[in-house]
Amino acid sequence: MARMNVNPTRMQLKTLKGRLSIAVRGHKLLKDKSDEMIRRFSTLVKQNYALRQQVEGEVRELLKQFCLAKSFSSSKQISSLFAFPNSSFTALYNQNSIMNVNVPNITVLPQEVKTLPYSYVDTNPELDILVQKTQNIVPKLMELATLEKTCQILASEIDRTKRRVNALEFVMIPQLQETIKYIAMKIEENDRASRIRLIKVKSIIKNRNS
Amino acid sequence: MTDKIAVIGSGDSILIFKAVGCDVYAVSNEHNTRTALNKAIAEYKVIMITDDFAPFVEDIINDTKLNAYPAVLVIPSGTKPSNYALNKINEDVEKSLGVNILRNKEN
Repeated sequence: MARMNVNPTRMQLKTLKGRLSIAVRGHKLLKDKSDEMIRRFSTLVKQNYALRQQVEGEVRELLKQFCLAKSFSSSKQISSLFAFPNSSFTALYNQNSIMNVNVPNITVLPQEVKTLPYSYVDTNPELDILVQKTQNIVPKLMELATLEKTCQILASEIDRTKRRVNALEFVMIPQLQETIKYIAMKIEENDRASRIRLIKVKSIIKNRNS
Repeated sequence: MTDKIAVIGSGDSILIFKAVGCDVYAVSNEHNTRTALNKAIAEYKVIMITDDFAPFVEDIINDTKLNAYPAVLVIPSGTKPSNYALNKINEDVEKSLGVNILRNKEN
């Protein structure tokens, strides 16, 4: 590991020692953060996978049935049926914090009256059932959106934290340690050199006097 | 941003979502999809897109991954089965954990 390009002075040694202790502390904190995020991520991603499999099956089935149901009417007629929806979707969009990472938290508010947006005249009864099914699926989709987004954000945050931990562990800390060692050795060497010089000067003076 | 949900998909196959108060954007090609998604990202907090059009706008979806909102959710299209979203979850797991812990579940 290349050492840093610094002057070997006591002042610099003190600064670097401070930086090393901060780096070690930061490394420990980030490592703990990463471990905890991985623990949470592995739990959430399993839930996400299971929920997605379930919801995907339901939505695929719903869209398939809708495709069949709408085949009894013309495309124009179907578009006009849903042109003015009478039920609106309400949800609270908040944010949660997992290990200081902001993740979405969507709460679906229950709809008071679940009515159909069209009259029963000239429509297929299949459609009524499908609309009700959709009303039941949407909260699940919102739950899936929350879970999936949380997993995505956690995954990228884990990736980022890992990179930081590795940079501290394998680049910054060894570099600081090596530089500190170099400065300490250099100071010791200077110290020894000046001591020897003094002894030498002392012996020269002693020889001259005698 | 509105509290509504945007649904992007092909033709009138996703029209059923309109019945529950979602805004539906029918698209037919890549250009349409990109325009619709860009517009939806600016206006909605939750956007659902069918998996037959999601691969066209993967770059835009990836850009939104780091923020809490908007949440872009890939939903299956009724036409052909595809494991697009499940594969994306697997990719995320492999990238962040180094090993796919979901693989045992699949088999």
